[in-house]
Amino acid sequence: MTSVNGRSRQVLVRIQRFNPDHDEKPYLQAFEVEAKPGMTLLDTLIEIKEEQDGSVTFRRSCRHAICGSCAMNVNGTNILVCHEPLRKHVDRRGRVTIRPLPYLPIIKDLVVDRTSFWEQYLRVKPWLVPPDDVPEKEFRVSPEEVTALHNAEKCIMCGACYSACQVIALNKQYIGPHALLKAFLRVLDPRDSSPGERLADLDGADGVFRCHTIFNCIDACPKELNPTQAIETLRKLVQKRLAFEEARQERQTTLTRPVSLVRD
Amino acid sequence: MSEAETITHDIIVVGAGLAGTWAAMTAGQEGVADVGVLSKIHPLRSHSSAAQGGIAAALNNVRPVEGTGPRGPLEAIPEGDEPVDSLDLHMFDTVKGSDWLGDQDAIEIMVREAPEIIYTYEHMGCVFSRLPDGRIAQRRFGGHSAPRANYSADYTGHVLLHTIHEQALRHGVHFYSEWYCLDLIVEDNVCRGVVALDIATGELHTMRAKAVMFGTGGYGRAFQITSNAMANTGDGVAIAYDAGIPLMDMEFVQFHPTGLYGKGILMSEACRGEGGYLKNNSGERFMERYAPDKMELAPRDLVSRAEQTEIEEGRGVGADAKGLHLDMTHLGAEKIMERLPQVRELALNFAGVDIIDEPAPIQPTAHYSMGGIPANVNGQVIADADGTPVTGFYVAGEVACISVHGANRLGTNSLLGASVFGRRAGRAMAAFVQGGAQLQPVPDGLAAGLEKRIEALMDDGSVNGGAESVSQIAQELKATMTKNCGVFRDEGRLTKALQDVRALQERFKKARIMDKSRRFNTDLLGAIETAHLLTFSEVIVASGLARTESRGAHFRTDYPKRDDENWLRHTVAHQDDDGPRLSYKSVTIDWDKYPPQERKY
Amino acid sequence: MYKSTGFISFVLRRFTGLVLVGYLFVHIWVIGSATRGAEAFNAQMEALETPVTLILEILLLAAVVYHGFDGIRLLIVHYFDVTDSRKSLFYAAFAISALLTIAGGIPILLFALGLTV
Repeated sequence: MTSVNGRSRQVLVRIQRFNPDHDEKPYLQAFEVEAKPGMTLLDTLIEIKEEQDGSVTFRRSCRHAICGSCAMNVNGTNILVCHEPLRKHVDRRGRVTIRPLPYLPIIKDLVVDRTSFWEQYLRVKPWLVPPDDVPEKEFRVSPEEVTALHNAEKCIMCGACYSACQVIALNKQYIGPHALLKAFLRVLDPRDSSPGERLADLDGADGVFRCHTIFNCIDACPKELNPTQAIETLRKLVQKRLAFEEARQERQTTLTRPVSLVRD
Repeated sequence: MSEAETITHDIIVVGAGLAGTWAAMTAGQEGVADVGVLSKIHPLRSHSSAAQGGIAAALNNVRPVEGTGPRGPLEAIPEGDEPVDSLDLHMFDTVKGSDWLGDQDAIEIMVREAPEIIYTYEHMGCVFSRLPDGRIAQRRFGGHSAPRANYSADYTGHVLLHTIHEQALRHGVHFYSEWYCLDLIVEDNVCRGVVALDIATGELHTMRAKAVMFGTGGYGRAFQITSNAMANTGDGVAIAYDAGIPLMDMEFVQFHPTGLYGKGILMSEACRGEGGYLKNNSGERFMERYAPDKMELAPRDLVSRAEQTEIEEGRGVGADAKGLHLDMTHLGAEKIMERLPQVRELALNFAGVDIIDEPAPIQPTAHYSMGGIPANVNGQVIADADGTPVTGFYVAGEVACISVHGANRLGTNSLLGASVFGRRAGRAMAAFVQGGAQLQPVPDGLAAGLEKRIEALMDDGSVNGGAESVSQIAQELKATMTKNCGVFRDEGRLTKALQDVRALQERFKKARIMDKSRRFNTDLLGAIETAHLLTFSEVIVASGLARTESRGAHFRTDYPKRDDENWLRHTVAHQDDDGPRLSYKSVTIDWDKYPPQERKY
Repeated sequence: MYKSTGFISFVLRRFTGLVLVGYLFVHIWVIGSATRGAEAFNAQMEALETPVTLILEILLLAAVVYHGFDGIRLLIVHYFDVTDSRKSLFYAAFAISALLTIAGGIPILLFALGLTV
């Protein structure tokens, strides 16, 4: 195959098609596309839809990796197609294979049914539960406490991790890396006043101990987040739940005081 | 396809970004729990999440370090020390930023409610960046005289959207995810509901409500280079316009100075807020010649025009010399990694440039729609230039034109405006419902009519092989809007744009789609969205053609001066048989406190 | 199936675990022949001196060693923040297991072929 050296070349894009209304099972359809410099996988899908087959169906919106719509399985790996260059994913035979996220029911072509994904998200109660005593201005949270949260806060809920998880593949009752990362965010936030209940809920059969540290979630995450590490941390906290709860109650008595005073 | 049963709610909100979610949640808190929120994409995919730089409020947490000048470092203000910011200053900045077209009663409300709404966000669990003493960190931003942009690294919008969505879920708000609103039902100046498409199944539903709110966002997708998501096709403005609701100030489209070259993807204004420089092809910081005082932190319309001038006079960079350089190499790796991590990733992914080592290539990009559906300060839509309210119809956020942002919006005021007025609209709708509002009758056959429209789009046979391509029409529209109705406009180009838009509207009658399945038909959505683009683009151009002055983001090279005597007024456009019928609405101004002045930076 | 070293290690872990459980029952059953007297036990042992059993014993060694070192790898992952080196840790565990299997398998083979006493 001709090597990449700045000039355009023909790429075979194989897209998994399936419309339950008239197809018996999913099949791959191949489209030939001329790869232009700077073309992302999303650009490729859009071009195929506009110029070759308008029925190719996929979700997309922001095209710069913040909305989380376009997670798909490309050459066996879950990625966000909007920020991945086409060139990077063409194999030695000049082909790219695009499939929907695995282990989820297919609505049509590359669009999957994320009901179980959102159910698990709701299940961990993703909203903060603030203390009863709310100050007039902001709670005083230290930069270090915020740094511990920033990575988990970046999660765009794209589903790449959830659908790469081998445990999810076998068991949809498992809470899942996305929701556990969200739970981690809330448990660690000093303003949350219910870490004990959260940890108790995560202690169950489908919670943090269901993870088999297969790490597919880290491999898949387009934001380079680390759900496994979050789950490991939660496991340790679950085991020390009462002590953590006490520490949180202690911290909450100082939430309205400037941070440097607290340190002294 | 048989019509599904009619759905009823007390309140229906279309759009689940900041404005829509605030409204729904607030209505619930005020005691009206029967609220349904429609969103054509999952709520967390809303474009509010793309906002990067910050949300403005005069919290007075930081001040410039003494003696270091307007570009120097910032420090926390110790308790008890003099504040550097005030509601008055925020108000003045916003009024001046709007080139005096902003309605000052609305602006006053927005800046007044700003600090409290930031604290509310924070109490709800928003993860803001912090000062060492634990207070919310603030940064400088274009057009603001004091550092009042409250930020979360450089993905503030993402953090706010997720937080408010979670809180809405906590309050039991019901979301109709991936339901596309196709039609607004208004008769005798009373809004009665909407007709919506369940995208997954293709079923049409008539939905009746006592109050309807649109939080449907802006219309940047009418242009080739835009920071806007593909979903921002101005559906709300087009649907309302078709239903007889006027649109206001549509000609004011903000071009953000730093969109990534060739793609338009947003590189936050925070880059400049943290000290980045804009340079042309000779490495000159050209803003010296256009805004010697504020330099890169002049408001966006000014900077975009400066850039466009540099480009048109041959000092651009890039393959077709239509770009410029945003240089942050002097900020240092630590600051960039801490405050601008997302921007760095975007530049790496989409331009192959590491902003720590090299300048990023940028160009002006269509970014924000100051125009939209006119409303009063409680979000209630008005039917004409006299301010006659439409019963039961509300708007907030980018789709609304109240007008807080006037002719040009300052950065970080959009997240603020959407939150404040979304909440106010929620309260207004709750009060309206609790005050005894009733469900109003809707005409028969609405869904059936839309059904026919959908079938027509799929009917290849009716054009005998002469079908037009929807995407081709869309490309041509974007090309003419960018070229003829962009940063610089003149009569010749605007006239050409109007002709082009009308020709494309004609051609669209023969547009047909390939996907004939009713299940999750994104081809159909694309066609309807393109129809919407064509509808409101005509209003943008016509309004721009009529306004023979330059103000804010609307710049006429043939009328380069601001003309307060004739043009200190809002453009109101109603749909008519031969195009938009324009009328004008006065601007609310406090002549004692903030009379119009020359706008210099 | 989703391709990754994590997945391979998971599958091997489960498989070797099953092998070990299965072996446990076989082992008890074999040793249990001693309850029927010395002769029964000796007869049982002789019956097992076949080439097939030999290969199974080497595979058993592989299973024990892999399961053990992967277990150690898991303990490291649980107690330390090492997810960045997750692939190297797997390769290391796999390599050590392979080496030890070979190191242990060779004497077994030599003994079976009668090359040592």
